[in-house]
Amino acid sequence: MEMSPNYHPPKEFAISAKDFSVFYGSFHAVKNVNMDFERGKVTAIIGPSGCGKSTFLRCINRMNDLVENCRTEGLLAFDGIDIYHKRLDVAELRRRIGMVFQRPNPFPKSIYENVAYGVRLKGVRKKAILDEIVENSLRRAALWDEVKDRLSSNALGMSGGQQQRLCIARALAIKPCVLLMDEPCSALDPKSTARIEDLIAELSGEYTIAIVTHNMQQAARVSDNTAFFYEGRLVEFGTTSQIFTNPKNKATNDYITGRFG
Amino acid sequence: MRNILDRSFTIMARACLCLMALTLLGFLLPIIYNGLGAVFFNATVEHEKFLRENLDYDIPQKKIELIERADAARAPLWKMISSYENSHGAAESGKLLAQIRKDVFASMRADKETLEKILGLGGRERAEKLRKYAESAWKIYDLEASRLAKSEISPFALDKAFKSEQTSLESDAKKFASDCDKTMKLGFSKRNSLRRNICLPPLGLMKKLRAEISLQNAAYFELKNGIRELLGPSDKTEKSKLNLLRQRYGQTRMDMAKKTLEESILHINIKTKNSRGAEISRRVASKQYFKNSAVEDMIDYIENNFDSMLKPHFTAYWGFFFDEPFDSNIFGGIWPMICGTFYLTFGSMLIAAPLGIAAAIYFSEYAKEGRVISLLRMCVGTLAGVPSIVFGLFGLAFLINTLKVSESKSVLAGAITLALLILPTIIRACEEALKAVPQSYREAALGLGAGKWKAICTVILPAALPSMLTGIIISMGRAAGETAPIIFTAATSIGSALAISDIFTQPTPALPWNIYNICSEHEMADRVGHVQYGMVLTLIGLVLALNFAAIWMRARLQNKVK
Repeated sequence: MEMSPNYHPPKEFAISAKDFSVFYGSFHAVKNVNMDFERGKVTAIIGPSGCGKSTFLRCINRMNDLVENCRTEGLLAFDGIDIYHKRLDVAELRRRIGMVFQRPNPFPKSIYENVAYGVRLKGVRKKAILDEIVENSLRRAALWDEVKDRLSSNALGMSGGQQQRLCIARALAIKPCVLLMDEPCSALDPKSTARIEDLIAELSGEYTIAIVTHNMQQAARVSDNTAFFYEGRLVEFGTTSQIFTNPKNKATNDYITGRFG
Repeated sequence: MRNILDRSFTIMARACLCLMALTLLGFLLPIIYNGLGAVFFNATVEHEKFLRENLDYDIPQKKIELIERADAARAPLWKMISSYENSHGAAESGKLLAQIRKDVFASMRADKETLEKILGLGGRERAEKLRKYAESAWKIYDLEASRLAKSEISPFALDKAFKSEQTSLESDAKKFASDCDKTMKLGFSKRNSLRRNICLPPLGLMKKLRAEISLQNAAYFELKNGIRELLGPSDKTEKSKLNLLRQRYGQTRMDMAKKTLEESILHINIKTKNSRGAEISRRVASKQYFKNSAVEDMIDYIENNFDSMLKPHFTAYWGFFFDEPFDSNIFGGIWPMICGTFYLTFGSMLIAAPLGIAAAIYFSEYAKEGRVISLLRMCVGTLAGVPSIVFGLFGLAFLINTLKVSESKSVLAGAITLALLILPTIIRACEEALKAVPQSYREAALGLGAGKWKAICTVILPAALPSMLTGIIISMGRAAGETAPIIFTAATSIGSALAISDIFTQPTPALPWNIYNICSEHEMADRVGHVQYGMVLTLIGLVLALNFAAIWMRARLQNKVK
């Protein structure tokens, strides 16, 4: 990975965006966003549908490369490295910045294989090491006790909440620095949601977590900082308590009080 | 109102389905019934004889006894035939005629003066006198010959005797003329006149008598051919002289034997002259035609001892699938065709599947929509619409004549041609299968730091595999049944099963081509009906088996995934 030549963000920020814009063809989806994700903290991104928050999140590990005619401008840096640098190893970047998707998407393989998948990609072959990593990851995702007896059964046979936790375990297994979560609880029932939220609280401190959510209460519960996006712009960004108790912007206030969105 | 519409629609749909099922049954049942007839049938002893002598089958003792009993039942018939053909009276009559001939020539030699006087005459008068002289000299001989023609002696034997008399008369006349020439100094024209005229009356009579019995003899030959067709030759010496296997054995199947009896023995074609004198062929009941002769007894014997001469017994001839064919499929099985179809099908699959999967991966995972890609897609679509005969010609012109993948037709060339034919189908099936893999799998794999290729190999391909395999196997079914592409590139009508090492250089028989060949080009197509149906059933069975394999495999793999 190469260092960006002209931008060195302070060390306490894991990810920094500077005048960052995203276009889908001629549609300007994310407009000149400037924000920093604090290392070891949970940052929530809220906003009405279509405001560009998911797009912004997916740009952080370049998942938007999959979308045709998607184009970016400005700077997005991870540990001082330009994420959109031409010679960047995208696979390596994604190994450092893990992602959990809106719908649980385990592979049609066994639970064990799902967790071991990313580790194997890194070239780890030894069974003992793999076993240890799988167990640790599942424990971190608070799933070990539920599945330790059926590691070889198919992951698609688990409940939705379990599947999502498996996806988190899978992401954790490759030891990322940052975890991106794109509405991780939107497809889950309240009980499973609570478990995931507990998990996020547990993981914060160790990982830098960015979470996109529609659920204001959730953002208030789990995050340290909150960003409010509206129509592609970052409207307000601050500590969660400040945003939810004393928003500076009228739009933010309207949104969190439920007047629109 | 809506209710009535709904109901009538349901009824119509059900009726259509029933109709389709019935059509399918009506189409398949005869094929299955007749096709199974190639394996399970009522055989005659000739079937066992053939297997024992040509395919080294171990025939159980019981069957050998059956053969012996059948041979014993045939012995009287062969005896009747031989006694008919070599009537004792015929040999004696021949001798008698020869004796009279010699006597006539001797008396003519003794009576030189008369002959000298006649030859001394000039021109037309000489010929006239000579003829009269000959007529009186040969009177006894002619009477005897006419008597023989009306006697009990078989026309067949008589014809033989008359024929030999004809040649003897001619050679004797020549000898007589040259002898006279020596003693009387006749000169060329007189000698010639003598030679031509001296035996004219008996030769004319012979010709007339032979013409009279020739029609009857032709009919007898026709009948004898029918008997041969039914029972094969009478003994080993006769058998060893015959080249074709079909002449060395009788009918191996009881249904064909009955047909032969009806069509070639009980009814025969005879030649007669119509009112204008032209020769025409007519079909008659042979018993009627040979009424009150020894031949009628033969026909009666065959009719009455039909079963004991052929010993019909039910048999299951599994060798139909595993034996080589003999004498243009009249005997033996269809193993080379099955082998050839197998080679061509799997060969084409081995070539087309990797190419097709690679192309599908490119189309679905790598290609960015644009002009080049839509052009490529159009090409694939067009390729799918090209008539199969064009593929065959392409295989011949490009693969064999230009690239020279093999000297002439070969399994390799055929397999490549078939591969090109099924390639578009495979590409499409695989592309659909890849597109059906949820995008979330791709995202998950990429999100975990997999490269694109790694993601394809570890997640996308395994998930798409069941549908891809289904598509490939169904394409194999198509390749197995294609005829046109292999006509010019791989198929021969006759040949033995190839070894694996020969598939790069040798052509092979294959089911679809041989079905066409045996149904329309075969010289005795009506005698190999069971083979035709057997081949069709085998091919249908093969394709159905492939389709069921596809269904089974799909279910299995999907269970594994779930």
